Amino acid sequence: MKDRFLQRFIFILSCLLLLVPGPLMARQLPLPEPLQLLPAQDPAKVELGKALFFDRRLSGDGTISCAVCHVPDEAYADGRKISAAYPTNKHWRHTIGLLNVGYLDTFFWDGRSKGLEQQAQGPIHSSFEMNLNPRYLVAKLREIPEYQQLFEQAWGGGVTLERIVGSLSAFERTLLITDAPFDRYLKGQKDALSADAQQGMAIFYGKRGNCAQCHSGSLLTDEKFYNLGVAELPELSSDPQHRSTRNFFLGEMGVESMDRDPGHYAVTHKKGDIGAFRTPPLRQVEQTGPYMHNGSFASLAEVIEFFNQGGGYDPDKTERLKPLGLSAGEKLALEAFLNSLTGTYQPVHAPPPPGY
Amino acid sequence: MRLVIKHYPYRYRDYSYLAAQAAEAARVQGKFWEYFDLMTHEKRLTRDDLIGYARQLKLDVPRFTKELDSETHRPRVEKDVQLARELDFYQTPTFVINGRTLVGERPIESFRQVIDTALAEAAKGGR
Repeated sequence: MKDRFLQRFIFILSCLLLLVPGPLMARQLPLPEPLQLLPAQDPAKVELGKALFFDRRLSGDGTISCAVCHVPDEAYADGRKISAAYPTNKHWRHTIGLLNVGYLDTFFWDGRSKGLEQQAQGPIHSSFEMNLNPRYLVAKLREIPEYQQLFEQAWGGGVTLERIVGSLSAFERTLLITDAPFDRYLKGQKDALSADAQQGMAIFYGKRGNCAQCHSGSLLTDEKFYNLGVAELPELSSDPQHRSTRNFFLGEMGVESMDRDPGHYAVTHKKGDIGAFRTPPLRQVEQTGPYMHNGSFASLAEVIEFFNQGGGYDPDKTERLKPLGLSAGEKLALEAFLNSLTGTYQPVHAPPPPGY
Repeated sequence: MRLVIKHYPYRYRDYSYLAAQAAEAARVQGKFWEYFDLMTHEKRLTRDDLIGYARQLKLDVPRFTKELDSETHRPRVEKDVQLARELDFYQTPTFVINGRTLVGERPIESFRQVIDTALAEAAKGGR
């Protein structure tokens, strides 16, 4: 009699658990707050920044604008494993997309820049990127009446380097994604995520995947640096042009030559930061492959499998990574969740370059 | 599907204009692609190298050399460069697939995706 009562009790309890809706279960997860809107940017500065962003005269030989590597149609990334470089040179890292960059406090894979304005200046004078002396850029723009006018309208004064990078940053702060299904879910639209995506979200924020230990907060990044054991690309060591770019960069950062990417170590010079890279934010991640600092992984499925294995091999690998043992279904669910971070962003087309 | 090649020799490279003209000299002898493949594989582009490739492909070498030295095909190359500038293309390679532009070397998947989209649009009665 007692047993029958117990069986009934377990049966009813099981039915009740099955009836618990997904969102109620999800409420137990440590989900972040929805993204807050950024302060509106001055339209005149945004327009000027947009003109500069697409202007190839920001490079030494007049062939490379910011949009060559930050392609609007490709979530302001570029779809390449290794970024484009100044003609006849080769880069050594993967391009980071710019969507939602206005929310960040740390920039570049190694975190060597602490502000968007500082970041915007970096590629212009980098010898293997746009390769233009910023002071020369100022002199060039001062000779273009249309730019003089745009600077007057935006800043009430003439062309300066601070105003150039301020305008570029103002434009970049308008490159936003805030309407992904996951965003709508966080704002209370509980049917915004498919059942698969909700399962993936539970893995992402729960103990099964524990992805949110680093991909935390509203941007899904803690902006900290970790060594995941991502393997070096053989071509970066075997090709003399890639190698010379890396060695030049290391020298510029005051770091001894090494046959690997130093990551955050180049900034801190602390041994524990060797091979550590910034946790990337994940909005629009579906569209920004290949992945990792050297574009090692072509697809999200490959990235998920990498983490499922507990990352790669490196003696200094973070202790946060452990093999997860996810099933095929769980991996697909995780991918469905990552795809739910894809939203829409305003189409931007290259304006005609001001002046000649 | 049709593939059209336009020349855009990088202006700060010593041999890029010469190589573009050599490819044209091979084209008029019916071996553009063979010449293009050989040249991009070997990568050396001096005048002697370019004539050597013509010899390897059994082209009419005296004619090839004469056209190369007299810049017979330079106007055609210049015309392509002018077209690129009018379209504000400054990067090599730049690919245009039914109006969609892809700049720089890309993984084959990037092309597949754009071409599949273009084919799907064409099937729906577009271009």
